[in-house]
Amino acid sequence: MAGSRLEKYGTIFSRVQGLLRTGAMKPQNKPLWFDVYECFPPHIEPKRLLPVPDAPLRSILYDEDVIRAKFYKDFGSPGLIDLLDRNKKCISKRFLEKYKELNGGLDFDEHVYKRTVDEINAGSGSVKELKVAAEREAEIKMQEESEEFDEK
Amino acid sequence: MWRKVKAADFLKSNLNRVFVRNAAKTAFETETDAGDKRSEPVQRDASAPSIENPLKHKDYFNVHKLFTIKDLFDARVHYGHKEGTLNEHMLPYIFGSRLGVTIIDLNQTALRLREALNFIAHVSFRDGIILFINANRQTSHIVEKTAMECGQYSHCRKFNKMTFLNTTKYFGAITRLPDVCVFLSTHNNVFEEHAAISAAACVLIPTVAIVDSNSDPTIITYPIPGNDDTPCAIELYCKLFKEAIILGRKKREEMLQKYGTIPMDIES
Repeated sequence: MAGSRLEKYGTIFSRVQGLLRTGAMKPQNKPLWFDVYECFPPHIEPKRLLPVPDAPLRSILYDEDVIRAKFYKDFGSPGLIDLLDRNKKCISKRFLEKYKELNGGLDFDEHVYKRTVDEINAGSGSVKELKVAAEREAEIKMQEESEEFDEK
Repeated sequence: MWRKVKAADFLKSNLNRVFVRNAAKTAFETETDAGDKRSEPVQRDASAPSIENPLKHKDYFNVHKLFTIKDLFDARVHYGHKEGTLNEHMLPYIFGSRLGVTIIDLNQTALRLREALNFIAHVSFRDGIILFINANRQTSHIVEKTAMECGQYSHCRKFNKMTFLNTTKYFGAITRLPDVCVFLSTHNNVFEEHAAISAAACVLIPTVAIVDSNSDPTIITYPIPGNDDTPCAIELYCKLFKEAIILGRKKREEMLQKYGTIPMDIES
């Protein structure tokens, strides 16, 4: 094929355009994609020597992260958490819901945190029971999965 | 002429896994063939019913309906690699870093993916050859199956640059190269850039590629930011590419049946 193979300089489009302009490539021989590219050009010119974009990399953090971290530090994790299961809420999520109910928001407050722990302990189930229940769920789930695996 | 056709048949029977299809269509060797084919719309009768030109539509094949951002999220397209492996040119596509792991901005993925699907559908509409390339062994079978299902080609083995750069010597006959290369991963098996990317740019083939946070998107014509390691994400991409190709081909068949020709230029 006629054409410059210097892929570092210029895009495939600009190189074909040059060939067409000078007549090195006849219009009927232009590549099949040329018109499509002309009508729907990519958002950035695909060139090797592009300047490095000046975009910051921010960290994704939420207010609730602080509460979650403290919760897991104090009470530990039940172990297995299935992220693909959208129907079940993990224990920290249930704790956060209570916290939000009391505080209105999710910004960290030591007093509200303690109150949430007390409320849960005084209510239907203590925080430890929450944890035990979650552990049991996880165990059952693991057993079921291993049984399924054995059957296979 | 018959010798060229013979060579094409020979290649067809021997290298069917490679993308060689029709040597007679090679650009500079058979100017007359290509010329006849491309000038069809110009020659047509002025009184004939006017044909819709797909190039004048923003989304002629309705590719934007093929997926939603929720589908992308469910297929885990947003997971990038660790922050340390990030390629600087990927920064505009990154939503942020969650505890050291980069998360890809799905709004941008959706935009770029729609752009790429539209391009692929157009090439398929013009009867172009689409070559799927993937060096990841875990997902190769998905890619090869997709290519077979949509009547296109795939290259999921060790890639030799000569496949594109020195075809006549490499295949022993004049070869038609693909019109688009679709990369499901831009790396080879040792995490270097896939050799086909720069080779395709050399020989003026546009590329569509899934670029993860550790890939270099600069030379890729239509980069699509997204997770390129998870099988369920690859399955989603393959499904979408396949649907776009089939949409393009269907429209082509419909139009050929109705008008006997398809518009190839912007003006027609």
